[in-house]
Amino acid sequence: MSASVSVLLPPLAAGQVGDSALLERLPLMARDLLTAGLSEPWRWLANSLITIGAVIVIFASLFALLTLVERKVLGRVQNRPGPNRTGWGGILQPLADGIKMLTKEDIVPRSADRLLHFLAPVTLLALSVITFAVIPYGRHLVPVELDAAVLYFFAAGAATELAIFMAGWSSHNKYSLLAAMRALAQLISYELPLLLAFVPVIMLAGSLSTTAIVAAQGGWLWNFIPQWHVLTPPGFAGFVIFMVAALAESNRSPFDLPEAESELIAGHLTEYSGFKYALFFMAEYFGMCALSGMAVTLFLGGWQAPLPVLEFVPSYLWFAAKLLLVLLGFIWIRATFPRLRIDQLTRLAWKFLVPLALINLGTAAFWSLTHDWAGPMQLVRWGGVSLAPSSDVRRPRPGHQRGIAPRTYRYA
Amino acid sequence: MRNLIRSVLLFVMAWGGVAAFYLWAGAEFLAFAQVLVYIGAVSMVTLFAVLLTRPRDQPDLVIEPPARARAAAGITIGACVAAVLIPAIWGQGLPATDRPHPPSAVLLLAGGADGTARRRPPDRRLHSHRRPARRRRAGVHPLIRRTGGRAMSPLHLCLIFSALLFCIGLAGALARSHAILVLLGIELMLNAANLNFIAFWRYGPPNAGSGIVFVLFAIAIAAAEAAVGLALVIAIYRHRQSVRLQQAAQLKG
Repeated sequence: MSASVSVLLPPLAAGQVGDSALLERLPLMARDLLTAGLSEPWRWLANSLITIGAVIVIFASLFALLTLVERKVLGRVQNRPGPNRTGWGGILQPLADGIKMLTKEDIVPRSADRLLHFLAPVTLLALSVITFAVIPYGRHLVPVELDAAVLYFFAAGAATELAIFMAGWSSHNKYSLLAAMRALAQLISYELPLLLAFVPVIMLAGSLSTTAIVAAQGGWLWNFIPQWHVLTPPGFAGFVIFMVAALAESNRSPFDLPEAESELIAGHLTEYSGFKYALFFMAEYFGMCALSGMAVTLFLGGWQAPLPVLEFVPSYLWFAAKLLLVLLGFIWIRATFPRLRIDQLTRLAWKFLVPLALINLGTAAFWSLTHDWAGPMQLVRWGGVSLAPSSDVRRPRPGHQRGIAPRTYRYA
Repeated sequence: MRNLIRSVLLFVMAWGGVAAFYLWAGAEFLAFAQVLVYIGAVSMVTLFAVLLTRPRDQPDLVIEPPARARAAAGITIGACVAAVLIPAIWGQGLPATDRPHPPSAVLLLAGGADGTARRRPPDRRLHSHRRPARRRRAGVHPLIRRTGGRAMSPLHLCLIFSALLFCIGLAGALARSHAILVLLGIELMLNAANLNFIAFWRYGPPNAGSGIVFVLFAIAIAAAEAAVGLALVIAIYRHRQSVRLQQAAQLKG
């Protein structure tokens, strides 16, 4: 892979204040201090390993924290305390859950395909972890810089579907298999709006590299409006489509049909128990974190500060704050919306989101071609861009089934 | 391994191998596109088709061995094609200039300024010890140099590898009578052709992006072909309760 883990400290950018620059490079300096005594190829290896270790440790602890925060927030929304018995106010709950999962018996059905049954959670977790490689966590903190980083991210995300199929098929259980096929239908359906939603960003930034996309969102209009992609009309529409599709891709409520715990047993995870189940659970949260991180990178300005006066805060803290905000949004949505039916789910993807994303593509082309229009033409520009998405909203025709109508079983 | 699902999963690994070849050649955009399209989409369509066309009387998805005559004919034809292709490649004088900075696919597609990558791809040359001498000679004769059937350039190895892949796909497509396996053989042949494009792109004249564009189109067409082909297979299965190609020999139904 033509990748370079940045080994040497990058030179000071012009205009950086000494203090903030020091804070910016603190993680890199700590890493270089650790590996200072090694000769070159070994140093490169040690640096890479430290980067990988740091990413995994940070996101594993974020996963533990997130399970607790999710249960606490859900409890608060549903007017109950949530877990509060382990540790101080439930703070040790993730640890207790982890011990429980580790000590549970690992049951493999007798007729299962043992190799694939073992490989499925491993593949899924590995593919979710490698997506973290291309997210820029800070001004100088990109684990791997690739020219086609965004494509890499979504390619690794798309390959996880294979692991879900392996899980469903290797269990040798017809319900697992059916649930896996249902989950795959959902994932493939929402892959399309997910991929189409970020194309406007690629058009606006002119690059597939995540560092270049974040750099394109730097600077402020009139010194206080950040130039994040979410604040342009095509970027905003793309962000909404992206977040809806990301909810579905990470199997989150209201799209959590693959393992709707109040309706099914556990979908394609029915025959998994103990640590393997924990791996699936972990991969799901990793996928959610990675997609949120990608949403922050593509639309919310990545590590850029929202205001020029706030630039003294190191960039990675801004990234963390935005990431946590998006994740809290995921939890909030889970607490708010009821689950969709499978027909509503596929209809939303194919008949609403995909056309909307395609219209948005045209809008983005118009937007980036007309960036030098001035005066009253600006009004035309904004008007055209704002009116375009309404062509996706169709009037209800008599006899045409709407999303909320009672279901008619046409093929049953 | 006489299980259809396992075969398809192993075949997916072959697609991953092709993506690894693209990465090695420095076409990372294509490698990720290959993973996205083949491992993310085509493999899913294939697996769905396998599950939707399982024979009624069999408990599991077992591959029946092909009829002996068919298998022999398919393998013979594949071997014959290989026997024609490989000596032809071997004796060919090929331009063997490894471009110092292969154009980055992304920059080329975006119409980038100079079309050069920021870093050079990892240099895993197959004959590194012979390399300096060859480069000096390449300075005398800029592009074309006869190999004379003795020394082999990396381009030769790439072409022979892709020719072998093509012949394996051909033999598979001819020897099998299961429609999905025939389609997979055709996919393998398409991928072999794509390998050729990328090999020539890497070792051909500099600043030419056409190889990558060809492969992008080929990937898109192969994905569409897989979708249409597997839809046909499912339609045939619904009609005849079988996916044997011999039983789908007439249009009258």
